Amino acid sequence: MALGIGNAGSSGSGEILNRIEYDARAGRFFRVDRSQNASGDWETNKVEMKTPLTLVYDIENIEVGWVKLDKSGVDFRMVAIGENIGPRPEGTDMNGKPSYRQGFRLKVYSKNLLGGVRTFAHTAQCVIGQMDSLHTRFSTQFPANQGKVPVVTVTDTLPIKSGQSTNYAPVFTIDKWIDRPADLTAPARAEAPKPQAVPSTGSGHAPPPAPKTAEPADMEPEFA
Amino acid sequence: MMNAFEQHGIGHLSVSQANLFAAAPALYVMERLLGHRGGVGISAHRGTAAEHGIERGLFSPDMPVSECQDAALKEFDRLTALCAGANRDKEREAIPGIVETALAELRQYGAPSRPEGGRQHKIECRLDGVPVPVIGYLDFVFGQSGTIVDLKTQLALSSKIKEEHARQGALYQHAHGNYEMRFAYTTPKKIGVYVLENGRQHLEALRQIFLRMERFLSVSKDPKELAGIVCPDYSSFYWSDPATRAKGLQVFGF
Repeated sequence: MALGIGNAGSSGSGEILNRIEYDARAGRFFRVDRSQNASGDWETNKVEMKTPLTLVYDIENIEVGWVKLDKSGVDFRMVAIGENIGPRPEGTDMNGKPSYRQGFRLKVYSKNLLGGVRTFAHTAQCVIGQMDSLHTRFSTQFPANQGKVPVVTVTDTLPIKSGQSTNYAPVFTIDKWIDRPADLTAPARAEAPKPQAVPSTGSGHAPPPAPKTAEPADMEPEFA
Repeated sequence: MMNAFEQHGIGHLSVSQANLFAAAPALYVMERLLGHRGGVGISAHRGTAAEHGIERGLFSPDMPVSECQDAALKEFDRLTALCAGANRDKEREAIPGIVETALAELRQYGAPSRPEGGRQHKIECRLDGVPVPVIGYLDFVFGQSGTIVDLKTQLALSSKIKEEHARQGALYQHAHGNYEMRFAYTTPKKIGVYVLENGRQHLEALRQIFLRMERFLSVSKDPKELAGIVCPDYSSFYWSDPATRAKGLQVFGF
């Protein structure tokens, strides 16, 4: 099932969690530790996590939407998968490019490697593509593993050439399914998410249309 | 810095490229990247010829249907002069009925807008994240009713718009603001005119195909290397032409 990244919405969950980072240009994962020094200032320390990297991925509650990651700060406008992410929020960066990019965010867990729960988010196309593929496999296996979460290993990276540069997409594998760890709580849901229906195309003979009073070119375009 | 499309000499995209890539990636590689084009099937010529006659009848509303049918048959004979096929006669026989059926319905729409220079209305669009433009050609634009109609000729009537056509219609609708997009599926005896639904979703599907196409093309600049990682499915109707299959055997080795 596709991540459905493409349409818009609201902000996601309110928790603030530490994160892990994936450097697509290098194909490397990092644990990002934040701590206060003696002066009370917050410092960031990145610790590399080598592959194969095994974590629990809370794919069931993955969020999709718009992400801003630049020097002015971080902003996530996320919704639960399957919901409409809405139009791109306004704003451009110093180079005139849109500030917000489509991306995903989900929780990952490992007591040993991460000290508990962290978030993993990304906006690079090559990473989104691999997460899309992982989500599809998750969706296939989930009905037989209700109430459980997948243990996922990044076994390798896939070089993706784009022009003169090469990015590295992580290759995800679902190893097994385990009971949801107590620390990895699921957000309350009114009902289970419904699978997306394939959009209909159009059927049923339509009679000839009546002439319009105004020229369609004067009206607001349906697709902006 | 060139994108993957430009590296393969692809300056613009089309819905037909997307549909071919999605349905038969091996044929896409063979035809579009390696340049080994398969033959145009006789049914495609039937469609082109019938459209020729229908077009005459729509732009000249007083032209007798028989004249439109004659024009269509002449066009079919011209296009298939060097085409041999067991179904040639069957396809030719279908043309007069298709022309008559289509005109009976579509002449009620009024006269279509005349394209500027050329037979069809050319459109050019940009899709988010797709680095080259997407080009298309509209069959008939009825400005008075704000309707775009794309003609599809068949021997058996579809009951709904096909997925690949929905992507085509979504692109046309994207280029033409507030117009309604319709497909007129026409057989010798029946016509089904269907209004496109969920255009936004089908446009997104089209965009996703182009994004995947770019990822695929970025794997290698060498089309032969790309041919080495896809497999032809000769059971698909895309491979129905014997010459195309023969070329496939040559290119893919099996």
